[in-house]
Amino acid sequence: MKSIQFPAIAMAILFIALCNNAFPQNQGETIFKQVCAACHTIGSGKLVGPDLANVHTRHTKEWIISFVKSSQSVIKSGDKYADSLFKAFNQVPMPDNPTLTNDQIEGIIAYITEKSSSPGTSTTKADLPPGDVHRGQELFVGNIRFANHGAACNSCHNVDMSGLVSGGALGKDLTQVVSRISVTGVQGVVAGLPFPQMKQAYESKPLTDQEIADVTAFLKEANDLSVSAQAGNDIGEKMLFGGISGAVLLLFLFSLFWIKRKQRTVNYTLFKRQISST
Amino acid sequence: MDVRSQISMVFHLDKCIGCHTCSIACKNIWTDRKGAEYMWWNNVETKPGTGYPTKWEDQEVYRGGWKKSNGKVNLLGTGKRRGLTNIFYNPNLPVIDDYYEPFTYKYLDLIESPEGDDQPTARPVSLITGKPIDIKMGPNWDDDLSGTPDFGRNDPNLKNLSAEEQEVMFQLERMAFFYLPRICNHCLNPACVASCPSGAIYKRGEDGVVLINQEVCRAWRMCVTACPYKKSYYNWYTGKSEKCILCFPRIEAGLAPACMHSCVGRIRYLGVLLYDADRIESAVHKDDEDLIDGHLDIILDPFDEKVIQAAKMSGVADSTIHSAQYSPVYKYVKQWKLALPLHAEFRTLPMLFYVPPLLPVMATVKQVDNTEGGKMMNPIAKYWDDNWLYDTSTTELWGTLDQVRFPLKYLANLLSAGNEEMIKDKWKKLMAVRIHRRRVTVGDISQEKTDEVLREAGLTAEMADGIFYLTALAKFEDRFVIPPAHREQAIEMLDFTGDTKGEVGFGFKSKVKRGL
Repeated sequence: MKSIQFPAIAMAILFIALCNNAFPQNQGETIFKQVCAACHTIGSGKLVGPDLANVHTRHTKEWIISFVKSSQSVIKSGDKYADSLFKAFNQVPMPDNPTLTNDQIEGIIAYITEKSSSPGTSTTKADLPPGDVHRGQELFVGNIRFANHGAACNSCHNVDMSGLVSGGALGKDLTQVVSRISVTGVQGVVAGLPFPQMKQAYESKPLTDQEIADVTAFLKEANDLSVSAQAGNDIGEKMLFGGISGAVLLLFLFSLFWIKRKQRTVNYTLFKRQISST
Repeated sequence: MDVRSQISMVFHLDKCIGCHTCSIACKNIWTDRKGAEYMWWNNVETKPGTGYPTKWEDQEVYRGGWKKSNGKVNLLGTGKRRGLTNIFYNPNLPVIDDYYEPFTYKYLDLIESPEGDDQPTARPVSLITGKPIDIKMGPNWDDDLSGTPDFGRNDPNLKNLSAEEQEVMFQLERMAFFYLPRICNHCLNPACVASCPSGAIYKRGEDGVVLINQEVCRAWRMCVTACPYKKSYYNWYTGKSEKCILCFPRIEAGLAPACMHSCVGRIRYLGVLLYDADRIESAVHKDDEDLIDGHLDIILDPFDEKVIQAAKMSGVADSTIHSAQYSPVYKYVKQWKLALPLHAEFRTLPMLFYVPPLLPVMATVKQVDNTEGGKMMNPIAKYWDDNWLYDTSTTELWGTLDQVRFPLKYLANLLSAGNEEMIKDKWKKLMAVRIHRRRVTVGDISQEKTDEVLREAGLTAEMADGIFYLTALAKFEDRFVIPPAHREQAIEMLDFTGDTKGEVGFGFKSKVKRGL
């Protein structure tokens, strides 16, 4: 029974996801803000993915359409540029968008083309309030519920941190997520929900701005702790030089303390005068 | 009164000719082993000189012996608290260069070298590393080199002498030296025993020989530093310290120790002394000037009935008491008061005593006319044309004593903890014996003059004859009065011999693994 039930449920979830992903036609700006803006800007620099300003001059329309629909299949087809792009952005795969039609993608390109002429306009969320690390942690673990009753992050995600309950393994490990996609990237992902599963879970129960700021602050803290714990090299070098100079200092102090010791043979002056055959 | 017996020694320095036979005899028996090559349990030094190891008497360098401060006597270099807290810190230890690096020569090269244009030579090689070395020093490197800047003038015993006095000592034709043979003193208050953290060193109960237990020794080497006479040596090969054992296997067999047995000048005497162990502590705590008197005070009269009773009470064998009554050491040290301990100020109460040397210091060099005597020589004999005489005769009683070639201070530093009168007293006695015997054998000195001399020296004619006999004529049995060892009693104190009676025969230390 179980072996039949599981694919059925999966198919149902997929179907619902596909239905919800339907967008109104030719609304480039809307679609961009909903789908792309979580990871991309137009002329405001890199986020999770590259800055898309003037992307229409760098690539053909067909290439962009196929990449948007399934970036991984473009990479796997041996496209060197796509591959280098994938590697340059920490190997974070761009989610596939099979539901977008060619027209819709063209609409996005049109929007990008239009925006590229007046760069610098921020497409990300407005400035967030300062985050509280502790509250962020409580939210992440689920000790404090999200205002809109969204599932706690650690239902699917794990963060390695001492004193923290291990999270789920369904989503990506978020211990060093800030290193991978930066703080704004995280904020973009949580707010914009570019990944289908995330969208599924939170579209109807979005996080408030304060909650996003708190969770992000917590993830940054977790990231910083983890990075500093892994990067022992700097401290090790300091320990080495500190240790050596400390030892030299100690030996010097010892030699001062015990300066009255017998330092050499009593025959020293005699031996010094003697002629050596070598 | 806690009477103990001690096998004790007297070395008569006037008789030592500095031949090193004693050193060789000792080396051949005991220290001709790997790791022990540099050790000389017996060595002979030229004095004034720096000795072996170099400057061993200078406790500023080696920190050996005891020191009295605030009425308490403590080890100079270590001690109970200081020893424990500094147990890994032993900086005053002599290094091999303070002794010398032992060497041999590659003699086989002389006969096994292939034919060539050059004469083969035997290169010196180190007995420690096995590699060719430049010989820098030897065990008696300053032999007969007294007066030289490096050796004679660096003698630590010159420390209280003024520059003028030192200059006089080392002038040509006035310069004199004598030999100082040294072995372990088997002290009553041994610093080596006190310093050992492992408790490996002990003074044998029955005869006072100080020994290092080779199974307990843990190579702390505190004894090497602590012994002010530097007579404990570290064997770098076995990792144990070693020292003179007074040839106890020979003594137990009734033989004199090898160094004494082989002594060419017959300078060495060995015999039992009885002493009061209860008074050691008070003797050690005496002031410098009373140290020697305190030391000699605790040596007891073996003829005194009370002493004999007390000795029997504390388990001294009758044969040992009998031996003590015939001890030549007792005569020299207590009856005639001729012998002194070496460096009493180290406070170890050494039980080896020295008769101070008189010969090198009393003689004068006179201008004489030798031409008449030379004419009487056979023409083929060597003709002595130098007109001087090494003269030891005297017309004045103590004339030569006041014109000695050595400052008294030097010998006092060496043998009487700085007390010059004590040295002068011994010299007078030695001189009086000579004058007395000269009257007897030559007859050119009057009876009155001789009596006056003897009285002034505190001797009687019988005593003088006794000194003369033991100094000049003594036979083997007179010089070495060795008590029977009674090892069986010592063993029975530790083990029940009945346990092994009826066991496997002789020669087996453990049960054999065959037979029934």
